[in-house]
Amino acid sequence: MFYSDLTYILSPIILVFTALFVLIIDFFTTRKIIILISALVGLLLSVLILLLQFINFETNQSVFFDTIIFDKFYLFSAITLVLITFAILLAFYDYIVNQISFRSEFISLILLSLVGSLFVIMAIDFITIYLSLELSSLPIIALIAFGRGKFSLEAAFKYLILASFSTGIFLTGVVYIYGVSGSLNLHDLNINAMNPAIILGLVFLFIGLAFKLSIAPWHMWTPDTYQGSPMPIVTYLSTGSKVAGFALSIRIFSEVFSNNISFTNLIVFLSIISFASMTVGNLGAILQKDLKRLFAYSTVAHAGYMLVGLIALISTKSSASTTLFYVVGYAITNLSVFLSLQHMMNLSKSTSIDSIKGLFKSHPYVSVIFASGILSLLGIPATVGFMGKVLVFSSAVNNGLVLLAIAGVINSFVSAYYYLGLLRNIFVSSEKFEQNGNSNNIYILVASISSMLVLVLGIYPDLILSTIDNVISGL
Amino acid sequence: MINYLVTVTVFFPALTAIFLLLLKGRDKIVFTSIFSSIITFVFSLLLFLSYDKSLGGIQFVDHFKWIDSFNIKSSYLVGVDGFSAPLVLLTGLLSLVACMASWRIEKRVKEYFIWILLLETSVLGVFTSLDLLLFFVFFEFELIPMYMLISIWGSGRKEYSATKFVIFTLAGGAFMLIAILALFSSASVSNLSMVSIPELGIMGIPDLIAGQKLVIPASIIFIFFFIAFAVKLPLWPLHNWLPDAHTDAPTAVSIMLAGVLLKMAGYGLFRINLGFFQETLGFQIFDYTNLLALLGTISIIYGAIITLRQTDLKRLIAYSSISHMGYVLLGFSAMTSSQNFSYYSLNGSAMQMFTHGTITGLSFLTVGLIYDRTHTRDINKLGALTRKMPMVALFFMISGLASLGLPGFSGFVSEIMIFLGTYKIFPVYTIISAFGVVLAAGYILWMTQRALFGDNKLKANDKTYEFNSLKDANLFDLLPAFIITIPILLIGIWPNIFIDFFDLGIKEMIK
Repeated sequence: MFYSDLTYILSPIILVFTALFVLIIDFFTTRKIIILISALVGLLLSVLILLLQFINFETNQSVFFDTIIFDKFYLFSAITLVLITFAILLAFYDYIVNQISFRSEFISLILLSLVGSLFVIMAIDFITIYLSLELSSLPIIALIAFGRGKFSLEAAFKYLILASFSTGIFLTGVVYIYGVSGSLNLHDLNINAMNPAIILGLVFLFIGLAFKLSIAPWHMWTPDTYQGSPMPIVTYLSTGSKVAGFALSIRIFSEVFSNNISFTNLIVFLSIISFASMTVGNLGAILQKDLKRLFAYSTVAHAGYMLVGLIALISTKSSASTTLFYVVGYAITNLSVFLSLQHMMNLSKSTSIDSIKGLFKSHPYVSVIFASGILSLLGIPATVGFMGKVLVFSSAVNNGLVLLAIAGVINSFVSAYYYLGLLRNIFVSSEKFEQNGNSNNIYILVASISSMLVLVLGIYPDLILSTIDNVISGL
Repeated sequence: MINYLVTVTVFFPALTAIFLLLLKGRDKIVFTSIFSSIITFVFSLLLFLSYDKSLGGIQFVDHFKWIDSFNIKSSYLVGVDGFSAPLVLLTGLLSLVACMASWRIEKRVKEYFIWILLLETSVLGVFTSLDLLLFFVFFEFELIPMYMLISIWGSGRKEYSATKFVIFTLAGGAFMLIAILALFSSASVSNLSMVSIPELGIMGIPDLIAGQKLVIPASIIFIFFFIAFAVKLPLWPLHNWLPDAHTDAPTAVSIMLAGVLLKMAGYGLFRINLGFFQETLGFQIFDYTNLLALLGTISIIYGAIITLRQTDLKRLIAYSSISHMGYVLLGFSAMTSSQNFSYYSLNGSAMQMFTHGTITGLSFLTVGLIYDRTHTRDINKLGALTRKMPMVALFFMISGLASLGLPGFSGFVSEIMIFLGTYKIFPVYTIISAFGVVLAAGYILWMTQRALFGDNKLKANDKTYEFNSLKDANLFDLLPAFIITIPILLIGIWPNIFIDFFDLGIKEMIK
């Protein structure tokens, strides 16, 4: 029984062994490229297994004494997550091999954090959720400090304090829920009556998650951490972490709110949070002069949009597919944005928004890729960001959250101001681009693949939307 | 009928834009773009000519599944009817003119034509798409080409104007998106088709929402759509972006902006605000027509008065556009109940869209020619241009006279139709608006007198005349002006070729 359960977590197991293997071969070789390649091979292997499992999927399985559930939702999110990590490691090949003095530990920690994220998506037991959340966030703290810059330690320390603080709040929520329901399993959670303790517990639980998802007003760490962290970690935080965090939220929300009770108070509370997140993010981004900080605030705003879909999920389950589509689309978009950003920062040796002025004339290709990402974040038609916004707001209107949808749409045109400012610097400015360094073309290669996806999914979203609908209906 | 003609027409410019990426050399790029716009024009003419008026209805329909999920069901549905066929032709014509007018361009030629061609695709898409979400996609997509075209190739405060344009239009688009989502979330709406097509078994939104309860009240959905189109039209008090965008845009973009982009709003008013809201529960479009007529009247008079004070040629024409688009709204609102209609005025309103497109296109084209030579658009600095460039002055006069509504030109036809129809229904507004024509005569004649003739600057061969070295436009410059003059005169003499089409389309929209 126990050993047969192991096949369901084959993919995380492979990743754990890869992480350890990477550490061990470090003793025997001096060439970092071998370490990187073995990590990539491990990731590919685990994606292949996940894909096979997805194709041959039969029924949902509760395994390991009902602490973990093996379903299509896990498989889909896990494939996305592992592919994103693969793309990040591949794209930052130059950074890992040539620029940092660290060796295998960097890669190994990323892989361990990924394993944690995979378990976060599968877990249906609060203790398992808590442990896997820790496993996914503790390596990140060390990784942030790898930047070794003036801001890196500050960023790592901030993340450490706030991550532990948020975990505390999360656990408080779990305590309340356990006290009322007497079970730690999501399935057993029975919210028949409007018990205030349950609502309180859920709110604490949500606040604990909101820290991780950088939802305002718990977003304070985001700009500082983004500014201080090395770029691979920033990219991972804004893509992989987001997918894992929202997948967990979708899982909890869809399990908890399956009854036909109206949660008006909770919906109002979350709507206010969502509105605050969009507004704080967009207004904050307008003021920024640093590219990394600007995108940190943009992440906060987008977390607000994604939350809209989650709020709709409280009323109807099918709304979860809009959030999942948005999150996946956002992750793909941000991948292309951050990779081209790293390329541009390598060229200019600066993170100021003025440093990219006139980039288009000397580096047209990276400019176009960056622009496609920006347009997708802004929500211009023919990009995945547009489709995501349409879907999320449609699920909001479907569930009677018209005002929230209006707030979201208005916010997305406020964001035009700073996104267009970036485009203006790149395409319109007549200043000459100052090239102070060189960069590796592999950033552009990976970024262009993801920006192709941005356009393809924007023009024909049904490509993954039907799969996502299928996945959500199996929740 | 020819298969996929609409789809080919819409996407041919975009395909050319992709093809341009491969080309090197300025001349090749310019030639390819002009050639492509000629072909698109031929396609649009073919669509217009092969539309079977005896059959009516939606023709040349292409229908594919597009998005089919829990939350949105939408399809790729394009086609033309009597109302959109002339507008497709107008887009083909003005894009051709815009491409030809840009043949002198030197700055970043390849990108320029790519954006112009993408702009053409998105406008054609707006006029042909019959699915509401597809319509919105094309309606919003046009922002990016316009932003780039104004902010890179413009003049003056170009970045400010471009950003202002985008933010205004995005704000309008935000309201439209909410309205679309609200329609779709209503229980009775199962697809987003804007019209019913019995041959394909498609029930359109107008039939689906008739007498049904909607998620939010129909009047609010109506207002949201109206705001989106009012920004684009542009209607007082949301017109603020237009003078800036026009003044700072390059010539070809001004032609496209005034000629076809503003018409997207008029088209939306007819197709959505009129098409959807005749049988809705608790509210019909007729409840608000009085207000719409008032807004149209204010736009006409306000626009005309502001125009009188302008000294910049482009700004002057931009403000006159506000006044002229006011007529579109005035004619559009000439109805108080499903019995008390004026087809005259609705047709006139549609005709005004077409004629204003051609006339303003010609105005901006000739102003562009003048600016290229004199490097100023300040009316006080210009004078006696007829002596040095008679051909340009001739075409400028034609556009001016057509714009003030002189019989024999197309502007007269549409204005007289609007006034004839509206007088029955809103006599007071009609009488007030008629003064707009007087004001138009005032600003046009005064402007031409100062810019083209004005003798304050010179005697015949006065040495001090600063424009003595000017040369008239050559044949290539004048060719687009000549092309665009044809419909102006043609409609003035024989308006029925287009009225027949619009009449057919509007009769089908009204229950």
